[in-house]
Parts: sequence; C-alpha cells; structure tokens
Amino acid sequence: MTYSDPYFIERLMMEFPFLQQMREYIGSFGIRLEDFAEPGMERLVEKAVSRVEQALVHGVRASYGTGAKPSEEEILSYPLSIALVAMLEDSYATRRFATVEAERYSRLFEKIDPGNVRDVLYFVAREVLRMDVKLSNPPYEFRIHFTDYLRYSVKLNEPRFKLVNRIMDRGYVPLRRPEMLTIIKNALEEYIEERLRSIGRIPTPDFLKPHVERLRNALETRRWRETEQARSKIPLESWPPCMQALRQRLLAGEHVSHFGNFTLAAYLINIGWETEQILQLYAQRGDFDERIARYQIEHIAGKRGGGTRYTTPSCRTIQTHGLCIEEGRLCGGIKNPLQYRRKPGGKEKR
Amino acid sequence: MNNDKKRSLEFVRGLFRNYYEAMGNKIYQPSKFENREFGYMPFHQKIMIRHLRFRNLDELLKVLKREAPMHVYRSAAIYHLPTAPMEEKGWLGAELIFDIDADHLELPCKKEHDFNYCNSCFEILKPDEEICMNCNSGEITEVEWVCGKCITAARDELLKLLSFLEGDFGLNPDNMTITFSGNRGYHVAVHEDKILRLNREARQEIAEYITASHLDIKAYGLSENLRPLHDLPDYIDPGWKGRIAKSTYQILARINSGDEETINKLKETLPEENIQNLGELLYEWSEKPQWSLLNLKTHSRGGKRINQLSVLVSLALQISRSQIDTVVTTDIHRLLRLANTLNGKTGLLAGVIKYDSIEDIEPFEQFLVLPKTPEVKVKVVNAPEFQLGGRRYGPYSREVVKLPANIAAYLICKETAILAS
Ligand code: SF4
Ligand SMILES: [Zn+2]
Ligand SMILES: [Zn+2]
Repeated sequence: MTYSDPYFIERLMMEFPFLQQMREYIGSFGIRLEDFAEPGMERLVEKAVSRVEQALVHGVRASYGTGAKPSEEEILSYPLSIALVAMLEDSYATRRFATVEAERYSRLFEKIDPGNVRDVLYFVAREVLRMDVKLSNPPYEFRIHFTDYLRYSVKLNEPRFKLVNRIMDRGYVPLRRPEMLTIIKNALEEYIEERLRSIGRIPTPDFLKPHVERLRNALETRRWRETEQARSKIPLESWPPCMQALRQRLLAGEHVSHFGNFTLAAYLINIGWETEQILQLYAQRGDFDERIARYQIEHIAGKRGGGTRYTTPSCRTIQTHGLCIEEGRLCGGIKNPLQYRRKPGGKEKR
Repeated sequence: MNNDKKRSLEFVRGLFRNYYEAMGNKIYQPSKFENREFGYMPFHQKIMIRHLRFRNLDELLKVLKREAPMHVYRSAAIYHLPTAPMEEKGWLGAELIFDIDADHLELPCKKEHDFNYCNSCFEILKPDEEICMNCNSGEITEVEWVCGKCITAARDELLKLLSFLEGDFGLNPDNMTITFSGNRGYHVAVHEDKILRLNREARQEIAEYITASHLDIKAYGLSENLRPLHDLPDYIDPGWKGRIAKSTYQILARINSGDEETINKLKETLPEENIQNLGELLYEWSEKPQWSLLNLKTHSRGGKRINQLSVLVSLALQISRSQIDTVVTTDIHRLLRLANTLNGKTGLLAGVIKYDSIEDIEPFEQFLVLPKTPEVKVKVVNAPEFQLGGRRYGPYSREVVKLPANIAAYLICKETAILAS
C-alpha cells in the first residue's frame, strides 16, 4: 500500500477529521456561500465568525477547536471561516489566523494515537506540504531533503536545528518525531497563509455584512491596543545614541549588520514595541523580506523557539561590535542601553 | 593614470581583444541566459558597467570584442527583469555559488611573496607598510602574488568542498560548474533546480555547515559526559558525524608519525606528555574510535582546565572544513566572473575545469591562453621567481627585461610592470 493510494487517504481522513479540514482549505474556493444563508444555518455561521474573532483577538491563546475530534459543526463551518478571513482583505488578519491555525493543528497531532502519528505526519508532510520526505527507522523516523528542511529550520534558533549540528546524508536530514513536528508546524503556518492569500478577493454577500463588520471591529480593537501600548513607550529622542544611530542607518537604507539588526529589534521589544511596529520600521528597506523578519523578531520576543525573550545586548557587547557611540560618553556609564535615561533637553530623568 | 601605465594596459587590452575575436563561442553559457544580469569592468576605469542583459551569447560576444573588458561578470541569480534596479529586478532564484581564494587561507607563503611598492620612487615595501620609507609618499601599490603552494592549497579546499557537496548534500557533479578563478582560486556554481530558490538564510546555513562554524560537538555526543558508545561518531557515519571520527583519527595518525605542524599546534594548549600518549592511541582507534580514551581533563599550558577531547576535535574540524568565502555564498544577488573569460588581474583564462580532472590540472599552464608573441620590453618593478606556461621567470627587481607577450601581460596586470618605451 502506498501513501498516495486513494483508499488509504480516505481512511486517514475518516480517522483524523482535521485532515478533512485541511482538505477543506484546498477545496474552499468552491464553497457556495449562499448555502450558509439558508434558515437553520445560523449556528454554523456563528461558529465560523467566532472562530475568526477569537483568532484575531486572542492569537495563539484562542481556545476553539482544541478537542481531538472536531464536531461536525466545526468541520462544516470551517470553509466559511476561511472565506470570512478573505473578506477582511487584511494581511495582518490573514497572518494571525494562519499562525493560530498552524498552532491548533500541531496540538491536534499530539493527540493522535501514538501508533498512527508517524503515518499522519508523513502524509501531511508529503501530500499536503509537498516535502521531499522519506520514512526511516527510529529514532530518526523521517528523512527530509535539506532544501525543505532549511526552508523552515532557519526560523528556529535552537542550535540543534542548525544544519551544521545535524546529520546530512546524501542530501537528506534525519529527524526525530518531535523535530519533524516542529518543522511541520512552521511549514503549515506558511502553507495556510499562502492558501489564504491565494483565495484572493471574495465580495461580501449581504447576509454576512454585519458579521464582517463585527470582525473588522475586533481587528481595529486589536490594532488600537497595540498602538496604544506603543504610545506609552520611550520617545525617539530618549533612545540611547547607539539605537538612534541604528534606526537612522536602517531608514537611510545603509548596511546594518546582523548583530545591529538583532540589537535594535531586541531593544525595541524590550521597550514594548509590538512585532508589527518593528516590522513597519524594517519594511522601509529594499531587501526586506517580511516573513523572515517576522520570524526573527518573534524569536527575539520569545514567541517562538525556546520561548525565552532576548534581552538587549549589553553596552560592552555593543562596543565590541563597534556600534557604541562616542565610547559611551553620552550615556553616563550605564551597562545596558535599557538603562539609558535622558530627556530630550539633556537632563537626567531619574 | 600616467601615460606609460595607460599604454601598457592598452597593450594588454589589445591582446584581450584578439583573444575574444579568435575564440568564437567558447565562452561559458549559463542557463536561462536572458534572465541573467551581466556586467563588465572596462580597462582604464574603476567603475563597473552592470545591469546588462543579453538575449544570447552572440550579443554578449559582440560587446566583448568591441570593449575588450578587463573583467566580465554574470549574476548567479536569474531575474524577471535583469536590467532593472536591484529592488525591481524580480528575483527568481540563484545558483548556489562558492568561492575559494588562496588569499583567505592565511598561508605562510603569502608573507614571503606579497609586497607593496611606492608609486613615486618604486621602493619595495613590506605588505603592511603603507608609507614609503624612502620618500614618505603615501601612494602605494599593493601586489598580491600567487605561487604553486597557494594554488595547491586552494585546490585542497576545493576537493574538500566537493566532497561536502556530493556526499553530504547529495548534489550531482553534472549540475556543477567548476572554474579556475583566473588568479588565486576556484569557483563552484551549482545549478540544480532544487537549490535555486534557497533564500539568504538557508545559504548561510549551508556555508556554516561547510566551514563547521557554530558546530556544537555536544550535538554529536561529544562532551565531558560521553553519550553511550553506539551513539558516538564512527567512521562509517554520514555527514559531520563520520567526518569528525575520520579526521580525529587523522590527527592521531599525524601525531603518531611525528608531524611537526600538528604537534606544534597541539602544544599551544596541551602539555607535552599528553601529546605523546595520544600518538600511541592510534592503534586502539584502528577498528573503531575509542572516544573515552581521549576524554581526559587536563591543565593547559596556560594553567586553564581543559578537556583534551575537545581540543583534538576542534583541530579535527579545522582540517576537515573547507574554507570557502561565506560572504559570496550567502549573497543571492552576487555577480561572479563569467567562466571562460579573461581575468584582468593576470591575463589568465578563468577556465572551466572538468570534475574528474581537478587533480591533474595545472592552471598556470593550461589557462595561459594569450599569445607568446610579440616579445616586448618591460620595466619590472619587482617580481619573485614565478612559473608560467611551464617556464620559470624572475626574480626581477627594478630591471628592464624582454618577455613573451603573455608573460609581460601577466606582470602588467599584476601592476608590477609597464612597457618600456
Ligand atoms: S554606552 Fe551603551 S547605550 Fe550608550 S551608546 Fe554605548 S552602547 Fe549605546
Ligand atoms: Zn617612495
Ligand atoms: Zn603562495
């Protein structure tokens, strides 16, 4: 029996309804929205709307669909959720929804009967994510081609995921099951986002207008809170000189080293900037790749990887990288840029 | 530029033009030709002309014959619009490229043969001297020389690189173009479909793999608390795991045979009696690595507590990594020298090398393609003894000599000679 055997796939789908959902992603272009306007469908519509709302407002802490076996309702309402996200026409919403969904799927994988996990992961990697992957013997149950591996591993900052710390055998990287799961989760996130984008514009039918409106409000609320947080942050004039200089160079399109980027991002996160705001700052550059930058920033913020938030590098470290300004003379002997306290007028704050 | 220099370069340029006129279409033709960016560096100018696009080789050849440029480049990348400014080119993918340059290998011969000279009084200076001690002028020309040792060392790095690409990365040599750089090193361009879309970060990971940077030996089970035996590096293991085992064995063998370079390196950290004992371990290691025998805490010569195992393994990493220029590999917009064109730093051809003839090739013979005639008189500022086209020349020091055209071109390109009037 091969894995592309339709019979096998059918069985897998029946046993794991979330695979069915994933297939709905693929098929969701063809859904007939009018079906949801019929009387008696209100519950499904409400289900679909609240799913999106939760994802937008709560992010990965959203609590929908965490049961191992999604209800019939959940499966049926799923394509509508996707259509709703598309109707919002907002890249922030798309991304957020994708992140939440990927997270949810990977939690579901953990609930599968252990005897089947290997087959399901293999199926998803191969048939859904189109990876070049082979099954192998424990402890390395999977072998994936290095090009597929690198596409997702570069976003992980644990040293053990670095290629140089992996075995490489004729182009394939052997992976243990939990490692494969991590790669799949990252891949799913990208995949879902791409799928959502590729749906393109869907005009909002009248019966859904109030619902879309409600989602827009949720989105606005979310954004407003983020900017509100930003306003209370340290104003630009009160940043330490090294950070001001880094920002300046970034905006001028001048070269900023990897360390420089890291330092500035870590500083901004530590003074309370949100990922989105930092991205906007970086987006001014020509060589900007949003996806990569996002992952990097989220890493620094501790939303990914080991979950540890990076602190801003110390002045000493910044000095050794040659990014300190006037050998710290403007900063009064502080040890870390976060300790810098100065008002625009030049008077000590504290 | 002074007139003698200009005249000399014009002489070389004439040779280049003749070469391009006679060579026909032997120039290397990268795939997706119309989607490549091309560029060239004219003689007498310091600015590269780039963002060019050609529909086919003939169009490019026409320009080479007309301009007879000093250097010719092509992008590793393929673009939607090769002539647009960088941000608007529309990047579609790029070959995976590698640059090995003897200059980066920190070879001891570099100090012996590189030199500077003063532009006004022609005093010869050491490579690090930037002011003439004779006339105090700050106008200095730096000359980087290449010797047989440089080329052999670069070739060793190339062979190691290829073993990574083929063995670890499973890439097919048929999809690689290997070239002599025309000066001090080698280039490899991999054009397998699967790798074209790799982004900068992925290429960085590949470069780090090949140079063993950030390699954590604990990931391979080697720390003070060794993992169970079956999990430790063995000779038959793939990737770095096997390489670590094999090259650690090599280090032991070198110690055993009294190899001075290895022993001296180890002496920097390990006490002498340890090193001798290590040589004896070779026999225990012949069947299978015996890691526990190396796992010894000791005090380094500076008195610091160190682990002997990690000292040996880090030396093993040093000898088995390939010292590629990581900046080149990670740059997805890089222009690289177009294969089978002339390198204006030497007048030699940056020629394609067949995969199975790497070990036989003598670049300084094979790629001396400019003609011997006419013989010309040149004023040579300075030149260590060198070998070109199978013949020895020099050493020269502020003298006028009559040389075959291609040898004179070599010295003029190296900026250490001008035509005598
Ligand atoms: S002393 Fe610290 S905060 Fe001030 S410029 Fe230097 S690195 Fe930045
Ligand atoms: Zn002088
Ligand atoms: Zn040399």
